[in-house]
Amino acid sequence: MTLGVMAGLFLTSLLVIKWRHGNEGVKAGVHQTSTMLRRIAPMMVMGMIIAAMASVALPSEVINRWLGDESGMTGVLIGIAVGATVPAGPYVVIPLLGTLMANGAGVGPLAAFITAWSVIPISRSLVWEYPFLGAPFAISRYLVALAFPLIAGLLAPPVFTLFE
Amino acid sequence: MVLLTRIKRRIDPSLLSLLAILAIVVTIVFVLEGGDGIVEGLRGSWSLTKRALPITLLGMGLAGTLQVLAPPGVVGKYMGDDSGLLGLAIGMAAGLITPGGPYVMYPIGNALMASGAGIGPMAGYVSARNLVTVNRLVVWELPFLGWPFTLTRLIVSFWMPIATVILVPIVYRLLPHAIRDKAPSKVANE
Repeated sequence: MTLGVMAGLFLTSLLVIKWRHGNEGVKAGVHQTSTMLRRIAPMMVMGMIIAAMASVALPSEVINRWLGDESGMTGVLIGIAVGATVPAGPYVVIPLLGTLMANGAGVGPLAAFITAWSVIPISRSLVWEYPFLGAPFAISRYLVALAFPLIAGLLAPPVFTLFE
Repeated sequence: MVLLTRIKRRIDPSLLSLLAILAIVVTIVFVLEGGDGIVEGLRGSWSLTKRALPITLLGMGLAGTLQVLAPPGVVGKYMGDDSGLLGLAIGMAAGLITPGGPYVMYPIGNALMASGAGIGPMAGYVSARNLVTVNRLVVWELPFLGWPFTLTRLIVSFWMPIATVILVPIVYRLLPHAIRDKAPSKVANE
């Protein structure tokens, strides 16, 4: 289903480009994509290997104890700390969270992890946000977002029970 | 100097940090589980790759075409500080549909700023892109984490971009002048 929707969107945007910008536009789009692909492909392969290896290395008991539903505030704080420091894109983080989830990690710690990784990523902010968008913007945005992961981690478990 | 910057550009910091993590994880698996653990890990990686590859390729195709259809230099003109709610909405919408990783979104953000985007709309752009981007939801979160968790995460975070666009300009104005004067220079948008 998802695949069909994506394919439809892709074809539609190609047609619109062809119609509005002609072959030159299509060429520019293909160039953008191939630049991106060359950059991301090696990282994607490594990401998959890291996620799968981590699921072999981390026994369920350990995950349960530190990130399980019973871990409470400790689990949420661990999720935030790891989420903010892990220097990786979705191709590592989301499969990794998937394996953590399958091995007993709770909803609160996982939501805290994914939110911290999204809004207060230490390495991405230093390497990308600060040089490209400037220190004043990066600092103000970081300060505002500091509390978000904690709120997400605490709100997620009660919300999740609605969908179980 | 030119040579130095060229070398710096070649070595992608995120690639390096991934290599380091990979080396550590593989070593840990080998110590704990031996060769069998490595084989099991590789088998797991193959099944993850098979699951994600088609949709990731399509996502990147879409990313390329979107950049042709809505060039950031044009969009940024409608995101000025005095653009009000419309600018905020455009900023968040641009964030929702910006695909790719940081190497796509931050150069785009820089181009948006260079063509006049204000602090509020930029805050909306960055937080919408990082929290609720459609591409990541569809390509990664739904297939790997399932819809109950994805929906939960959306519900607990939909207010965050809104809080960001209100609070970031306020905090920005409170920053000391010494910091505030360090506006970003225009970075070449490759």
